[in-house]
Parts: sequence; structure tokens; C-alpha cells
Amino acid sequence: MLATPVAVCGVVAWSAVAAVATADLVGDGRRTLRVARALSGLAAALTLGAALAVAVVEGPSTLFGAGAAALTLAAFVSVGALALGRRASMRGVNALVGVLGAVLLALFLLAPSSVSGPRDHTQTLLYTHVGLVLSGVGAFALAAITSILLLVQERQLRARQFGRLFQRLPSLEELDAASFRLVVWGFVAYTTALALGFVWLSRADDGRSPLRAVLAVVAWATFAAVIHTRITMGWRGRRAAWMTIAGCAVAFSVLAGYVGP
Amino acid sequence: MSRAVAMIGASHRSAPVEERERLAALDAAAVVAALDGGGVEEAALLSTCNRVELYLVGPDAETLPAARALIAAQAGVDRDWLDRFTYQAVGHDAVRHLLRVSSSLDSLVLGEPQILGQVKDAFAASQRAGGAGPILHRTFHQAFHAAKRVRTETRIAESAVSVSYAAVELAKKVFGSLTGKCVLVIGAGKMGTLALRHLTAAGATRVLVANRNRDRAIDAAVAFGGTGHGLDELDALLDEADIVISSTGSQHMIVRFEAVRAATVRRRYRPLFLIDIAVPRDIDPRCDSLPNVYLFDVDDLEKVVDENLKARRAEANRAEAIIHEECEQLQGWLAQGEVVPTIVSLRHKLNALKDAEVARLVRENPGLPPEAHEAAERMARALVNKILHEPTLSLRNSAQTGHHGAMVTAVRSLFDLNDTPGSAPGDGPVEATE
Repeated sequence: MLATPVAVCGVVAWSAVAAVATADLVGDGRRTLRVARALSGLAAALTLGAALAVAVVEGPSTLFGAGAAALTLAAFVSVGALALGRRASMRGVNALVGVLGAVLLALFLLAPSSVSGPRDHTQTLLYTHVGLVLSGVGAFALAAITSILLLVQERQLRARQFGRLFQRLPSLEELDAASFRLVVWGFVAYTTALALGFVWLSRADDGRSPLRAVLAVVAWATFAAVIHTRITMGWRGRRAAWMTIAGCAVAFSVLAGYVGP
Repeated sequence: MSRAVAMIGASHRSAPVEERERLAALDAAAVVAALDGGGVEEAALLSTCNRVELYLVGPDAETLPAARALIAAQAGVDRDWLDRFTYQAVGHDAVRHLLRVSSSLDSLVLGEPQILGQVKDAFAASQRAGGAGPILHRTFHQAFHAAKRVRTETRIAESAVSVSYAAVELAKKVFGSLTGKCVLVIGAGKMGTLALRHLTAAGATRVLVANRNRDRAIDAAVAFGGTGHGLDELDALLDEADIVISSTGSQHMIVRFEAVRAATVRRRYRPLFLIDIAVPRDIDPRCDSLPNVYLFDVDDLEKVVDENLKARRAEANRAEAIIHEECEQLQGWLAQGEVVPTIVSLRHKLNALKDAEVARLVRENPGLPPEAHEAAERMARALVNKILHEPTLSLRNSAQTGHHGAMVTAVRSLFDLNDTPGSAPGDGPVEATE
């Protein structure tokens, strides 16, 4: 299968992205930023290439099956990271995106039947639901990454640590704005996904655990709270960052067992 | 005798300001005028608030004593004073010093940008006074090039090293861009005004000035196109401002914790950046614990400056490597200049021999047809060129490797070149290559 070697290369490339981007944040390298950006482009291309290989060989619906969901999520994260990376000020994002990309591709490779997704075209509703969930979670993951960077940068500022890391991380407002934008995009996709998911559940009883649905609603409610408190009370910064990270953790727990082995 | 660049000067490293002041009277035009009749041919005077340095070009062994004599005569100082408060260098060391000075590696504040402009001004003044010849021209331009490389290839000029600019740098770490931000200045102290000037230059557009005396606040605000207010309006002003700079002479807190806490809710938690540069402090330090409120005092700003200076010092090693490269390049060029007179002498000598031999041939053969005369002339010229080719190349190569001294001596001795043709070393290697 073509997707496997491409995904292995993707794991290596994302790991390299994480290493070089971290070195760029804390080290003395002069070309590390450029190298990290070039590597992230390569890693994203490999991830999208692996997803394309799965889609061509096994059919597009396979991408939304349990085995390949991690690959699809990695592809969404790749596209989002490329869009984020276009902003020169978003230095440091790749350090965490690299780790996430490598883990997701590794989960895809470790999945028992990585390309054995459902081929029943009558289940279009389900595939759309899964696709929207994965794109939403991808946006939430990137929002959580920018939130983590915000917390780190705020910690540097409050602790008067004005060293290299402080100099190179983006400003608090830029991180906050990027995180909120990603939460809104993810929320739109996730809300639609949940609605479709409930419609699909009402039509087909496949004996799934209601826990996943409950967790999905909790994740949705958390992000709804992030948006609501921002709009009504202006909550931003550290509070919003912690809520975003918590919501992302719940959203990932919903995918546990579906993504990866 | 070869010519060399020599330097003598006093800076913040060698002399206190009250001693440096004695050299402040030196003037480029007067220095150049004083060169008349001496062995020194070129001169430039660099005079800044932190240093006064005189650069001269002349015969190797004579230039430094001439420089000392010139300084002593012009500034009215004696030999003991010169020994005590000045430093001096000649040849490679003098050139290296100028390159380091231009690149701000010898400045009081490492990496400060003003020095390059001051060196350029010094060179322009020297040119106007007629003191800059080919060697100083090339040396100063090499210094400008080195300084440009140091600024672009290292991070020595990055980051703020003044307290007022450090405030801007910190504000950018909170807001990203300062475009459109509103700045509130409490009190109208010098530091506050300086920080405000930096902030408005960085893009902050709205300026509010609050003072105990409203009229003084209005006067201060007018200069920045802002509005003046009394301190009684402070609570309302906190709602509008993104950046607050406080620098009053008050003995009590001006910005209270409760006022800022209430303002954060009214502001819907928009970030509020507070700079307290007053001693005693104007802003309650507890404000720093409020969400999205960031308070920095003078010590914090000085810590930023220290970190940035540390980073600049780390970059200095990289800059020294660039200086070394540029020095080598310049030394190569200067050495080329030193071999030029020998090459020109050698060429003159062989051409004279050629001309004499052709003339003798014509004289001894009066019936020689013009075609034969021209052929003999061509052959002799070609022969001279072929003979000169290898020695010329060897001399030029030896100049590039810095081993030209022995080679020049050998060639001069072998061909008995005692005359010194008019070619100046500073005229460069172009003449040497025909």
C-alpha cells in the first residue's frame, strides 16, 4: 500500500519539524525558522499525499473510516498549520504542530486495519458527520496549540523572563486572536457535525456507547462557552486559553478508539 | 618606503569626559591644513561625544609620531597627557580599530546605530577639507561596508537597549502591532515623554495626557496631537487607554488597584499595559495580578535592556569574524598598492631597454624599411610583455597572501630598481594589472 511508506516519511518529517521549530524557539540557529517552515511544508505535503493515496486506492469514504481517521485529522491539521504558518508572527506554532502531526500519523500506521473504512455509500450522512468532526477537531487542536503558546508567553511576561523564548514567541493578542478564530471555525464545523450525528443516530441504532455522544456535547458546550463569554463578557487571554485546551482535550477523548489503534 | 594608516585617539574607555573635552577643539579643516609640508598625506578626524580619533596616512615609521605631534599641537596637550589618556595603533591594528568603531563594537552601547553616521560625517568632513586621499577613501568605505554587514548579518542591532524603547518592545509583546492603540501618559516627565515618542513612532495614534494641573496636561498633549485631562478623570481614561505610562513625582499611588480592577471589567478584559517609571511608584503593584493587565516598573524595563545587551554581546563574536574578513580584504588591497610601484618600475625599466634597443637597431641600419622597423618594435614589445607577465603575477599574488615584502625586495634588487615611479599605492591595483 502506497500510503504506508508516505505516512512513515510524514512521521519523520513532522518529528523533524517539531525538533527544528523547538530549536528555533530556544536555540541560536540563524536559519532554523526558514528550515522549520520548509520542513512543515514537506510534512504537510506528505500527509496530504498519504491521504490522497488512501482515497485513490481504497476510495474517498475510507478516509472517514475508523482506520484512516487519524490520517484525515492529520491532513486537516496540516492544512490549518500551513494557513497559520503564512503569518510571519506565528513563530513557534510548528513546534507543537510537529508533535501532533507525528503522533496522528503514527496512530494511523498503528491502526489494525488502517484503510478498512466503511464503503457503504448509503452512509453519506455518517461520512459527512465524521469529516466535519475531524475538521472541527483539527481547528480545535490548532486553537489549543496557540492557547498553549499564549500561556507560555504570558508566563514569560509575568515572570519577567525576557530571554530568547520570550523574544521569539508571538505576542499575546496575536495568539489570542488566532486561537479565537480557530475556535469559531471549529465550532461551526463541530456544531454541524453534531447535528448530523444526532440525525444519523436517530436513524440507525448501531449500539454505540452514549458516552461518546455525551462527551461530544460537553466538548461542544465548552467551545460554546468560549465563544459566548468572549462575545458577552470579553473573556480572553489566560481564561479563554484554558477553556480552549480543556475543550480540545474532551473533543479528542470523543475520538479515542475511533482514531488510531 | 610604504605608507600606512595610523590612528591616535581618546574614547570613553581611555579617558574621562573632562579629559576628552580637551580634544573637542580639534577641527578636521585645521588638522588637514596642518599637514602641509609634512610626510603625512591624508587625514580624517572622527569626533563624537564618546570619542575623538585622528586617522592619518603617511610613511610607515613617521605617521604615528606625526599624529601625536599634530594632536599635541592642535589640542595643547603634552606627551604625558597623550601617554595617559590616548591609545594609538598603526597599520592593520589602526584599520581594524576603525572597522570595529564603525560597526559599533567599540561603542558604549554595543550595536548602537548612530556611530556609522558619525563616521560617515567624519569622512565627508575630511573630503571637504581635502584630507581624504585614496587610502583613507578605501579604508573608510571598507569600514562602511563592514558596518553594514555587521548590521545585516548579525543580530547585534536587534532589540531595545534603552529603558524607554524597552517599554515599546514589551508593549509589542502584548499587542503585536501598536497601530491605533491609545496611550495614556500620567504626569509629563522626561522619561514618560520619551517613551510616548517611541510609542507614537511605533504606531500608537491616540494620546491622552493626565496631570494634576490640567493646563500643563493640555500643553503636553498638544505636541502629540492628543488631549489633556486632570487626574480626577483617571478612572474614565483607564477605560479608553491600551497603554498607560506613569511618571509623576507623587509620593502616593496615583493608579489604584480597585480602579484598575473595575476598569478591566468595563474594558471587557481588553489587555491593559501599564508602565510605572516613577520612583516612588505611581501604580499599585497588585494590578499585575489582574487578568490581562500587565504592569512593569523601571527595574523590569532595565531587565529587558540587560537581556538585550546580553544577546548583543553574544552576537559580537560573529561581528568580530566579519571585521576580520573585511580587514583581510582591505589589507590585501593595501598590499597590492605596495607592489604597484615595483611593477610600474619594472615595466618602465624593461620598456626603456626595449626603446633603446629598437633605436639602436634603427641607428645601425639606416636603410631599414619602415615595415622591418615596425616588426622589430612589435617583437620587442611582445618580448617585454612575455617577460613581465610572470613577475607581475607573482608580485600580485604575493600581495594577496601578505608575503610581498621579500618578493618586492628581490625584484628591486635583481632588476636594480632604485627609482620610485609616481604611482601611488592608493591608486590601487588597477594600474598594476594594465
